[in-house]
Amino acid sequence: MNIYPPLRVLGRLLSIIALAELLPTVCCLWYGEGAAALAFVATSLLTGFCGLGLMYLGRSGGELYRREGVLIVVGGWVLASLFGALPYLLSGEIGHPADALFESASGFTTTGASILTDIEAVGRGVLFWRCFTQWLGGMGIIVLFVALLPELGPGARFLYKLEVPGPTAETLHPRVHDTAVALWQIYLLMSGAQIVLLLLAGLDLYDAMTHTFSTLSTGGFSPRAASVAAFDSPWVEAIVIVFMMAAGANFSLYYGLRQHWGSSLLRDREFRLYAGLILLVSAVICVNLLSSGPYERAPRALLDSLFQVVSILTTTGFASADYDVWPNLSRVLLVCLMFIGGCAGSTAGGMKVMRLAIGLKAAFREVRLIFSPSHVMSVFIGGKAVPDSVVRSVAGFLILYFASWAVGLVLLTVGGVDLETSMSASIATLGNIGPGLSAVGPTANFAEFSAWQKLVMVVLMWIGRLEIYAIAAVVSVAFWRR
Amino acid sequence: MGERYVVMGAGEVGSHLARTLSLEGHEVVVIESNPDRRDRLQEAIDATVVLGNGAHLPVLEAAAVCDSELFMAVSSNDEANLVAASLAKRLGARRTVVRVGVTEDITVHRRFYEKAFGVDLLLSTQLLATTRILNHVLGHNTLEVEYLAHGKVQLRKIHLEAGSLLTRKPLREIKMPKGSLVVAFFRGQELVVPSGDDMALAGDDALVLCKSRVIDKVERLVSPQPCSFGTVVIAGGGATSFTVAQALVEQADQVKVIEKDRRQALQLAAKFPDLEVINGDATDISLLRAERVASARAFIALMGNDESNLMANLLVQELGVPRVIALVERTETSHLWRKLGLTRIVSPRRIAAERIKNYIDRGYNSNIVSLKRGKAQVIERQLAAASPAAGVTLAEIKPPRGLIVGAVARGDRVFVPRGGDRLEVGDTVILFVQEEHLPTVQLLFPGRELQRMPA
Repeated sequence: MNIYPPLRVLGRLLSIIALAELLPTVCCLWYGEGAAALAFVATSLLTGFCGLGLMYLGRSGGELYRREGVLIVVGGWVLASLFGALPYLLSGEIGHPADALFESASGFTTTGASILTDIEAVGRGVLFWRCFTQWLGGMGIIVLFVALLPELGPGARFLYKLEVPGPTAETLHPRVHDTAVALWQIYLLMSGAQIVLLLLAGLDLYDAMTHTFSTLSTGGFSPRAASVAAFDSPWVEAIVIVFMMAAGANFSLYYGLRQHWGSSLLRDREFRLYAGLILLVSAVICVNLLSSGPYERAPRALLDSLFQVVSILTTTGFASADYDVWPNLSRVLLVCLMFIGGCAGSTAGGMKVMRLAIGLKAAFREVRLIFSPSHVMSVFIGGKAVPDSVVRSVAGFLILYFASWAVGLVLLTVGGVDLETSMSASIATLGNIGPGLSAVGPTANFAEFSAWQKLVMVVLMWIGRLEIYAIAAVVSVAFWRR
Repeated sequence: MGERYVVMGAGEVGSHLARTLSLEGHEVVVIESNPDRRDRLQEAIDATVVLGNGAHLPVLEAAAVCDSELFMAVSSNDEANLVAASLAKRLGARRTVVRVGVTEDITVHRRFYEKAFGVDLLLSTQLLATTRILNHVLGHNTLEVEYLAHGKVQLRKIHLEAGSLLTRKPLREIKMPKGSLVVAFFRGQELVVPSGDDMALAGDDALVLCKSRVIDKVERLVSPQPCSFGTVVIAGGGATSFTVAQALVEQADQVKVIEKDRRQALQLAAKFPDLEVINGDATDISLLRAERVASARAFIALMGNDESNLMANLLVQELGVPRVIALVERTETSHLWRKLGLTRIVSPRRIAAERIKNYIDRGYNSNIVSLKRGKAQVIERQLAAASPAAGVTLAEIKPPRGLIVGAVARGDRVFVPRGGDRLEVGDTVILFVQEEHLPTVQLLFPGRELQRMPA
């Protein structure tokens, strides 16, 4: 392991984060929050200084290889979360460092779980930062980094693949830098579109921007205590539904749209599964809501069930209704969706529809082999064979994913919370969703957990965001062996 | 003394061709890179053998390619074949024939390859064998296939037996499948362009133009006894199996492939979702029983080894499979197979040799419709803006009887045009033309033979 290139690259990453930390200052000054503005400037200076320091330490150079790449990706997310926590502490909005780190990691990993008990009492600048971290983390800070720094060279490919490790990791351009730029262009374009639509629906610029940030990143932070329900507007909910769905689909499909309109989206097998899943589960929940009581009017029930299904499946975690009071069937279905997540190559978390499809087909193949052992079968998705190396990687991923969830579940139960809370908290943080059920439901928060449990959840969020393998590699012994 | 022929590659096809041509009294030079094979060949055939790779200029010069009548590159290396043919043409070989393995090169890109490498006839032994195998499996009677419009359209020469619908009713009364057209009948050395009142005679060969998707419908209509579908089992998972399976997965209910080599089986299983691939030995009776091969409609042995193919065929015949087909490499043993009741045998060597022989006998005209004296042609043209036919309906063009606009490829769509259909700039039109109407074609569809890159 050559430690210098990772130090150098991470130093540059920190200087980019330092620049990003200046943006909320504008917001603070606009709303006359002088102290918070100072906190942001101080954070930015500190981050920038540390960044320069790392760049100085790593100046002696060296090539980027796989190991260094893994270290950079994991280190990048850890450092971003650490330095992103500073504004919360320095502005005095959050007192405990573990709480601040939780909030920051929850932002960058687009989880959307919060320890804030009274959100609307917090300054607007800090709340802006909270949503802004989600937007940065949504498309991926490493992808942003690759997009901004074309001179990263061949090492950029490792970094990109490690942050976007989906089963169909394909690059849109021969150069990874161009791919990253294209992805960010699409992301910016969609953000602009959503801001304009939300403004037209009657939101002010602050609400429109913050909600766009957490919608397209599938993060789910809202500066309002009641989340999207605060606006009480079916239009706003409809707009958010559409953009959550869009953010949960594979972004390379939008790139395809630039070439042939409409065809690539509907022809994509994963998108069809994803859309079908949304429609099916929404319909079941809607019927369940109407038949067992809490809703009387069908349109409201339909909109709420659709909103919650899309919000949970895309791992956004917005709420337009308190689904924790819904009948058990609906709640269980939502928990199932938490495990699935969006499409590969999207900003969503979870296991991803594609992995689930590959995993299930591979399992059916094993069933088939029980009675016809001499048959040789490939796993086909949309008429194309999935290479066996990918099938193996998916199987390993699924095992590790459930193992991580189970470990999280055990550790979170230690303090004595009920099973529903710990089960849903573990998947809500691992899947980067945000709210869970019961004590961590959409109207509650994660403040009740002890400090070390919050750190456990921070690790779960990182594991979920980097899709396990990079983190698992860093903690493995062989990784550090010479 | 006959003409001088140069054969590159003394494999199955090459040595067979060399022997046939040599026996006919021609001067034959063989280029072969394997010294053992050269020694064996020199004992068996009266021909000069040059040792080396035909893709290298000195080797071609040593083989005296410069004044040869025909250069046949039939080695197992596609790239070397193409390069050698291209060089041989430059050196002065009058004509070149190239064998390639990848069938898509022929079905989709044949014309482009022929232009780019100066090849007069590009053929694939596998593809030729596949046509014969499909005839046996599906009860077709196809003699030759030409692929047009990047493989979306096929021109098929189908032999008409007594009892075929085409010999029983005039064309007007026959409802041909959508996207197909009977273009002409070959009757002896004569070419008949039929009108609606005409009827084919038994023994004629019909020339049918059809979209690749409706081939089977056409064949079923034309054949007097089409066979019903069911399971088809293929033993062996090599390149020929791939082409055969590709054609069959669309036309049979179920296709099973039995392949001994696990890696090859895995490769094949990754190609088509609807194909069942079994890793095992097709000469193992217990495997055949376990896989219920007895209930199959047809069994094709393509294991690349005559002994295994024979063994498998005998076993399967015993099990009661109605159609048992085998690929036979050693042509000279074919009478022994027949003695054992195995009549449906396909010999790629003989087919390839026949095809090349046919090409020589037709006066080096590779066109499917050409007779001894090229009387008609099939032309593929892209409609230019300057063409008087652009933007006009077919009825308005009023093409003469010997000029048929057989098919139009527009973007991804292919159709057989009717009177009311309008031709558009950029369309690829497939024309069937009798020689006397060639000037009309130049007038209506100016331009050279299609030479565009695949889309």
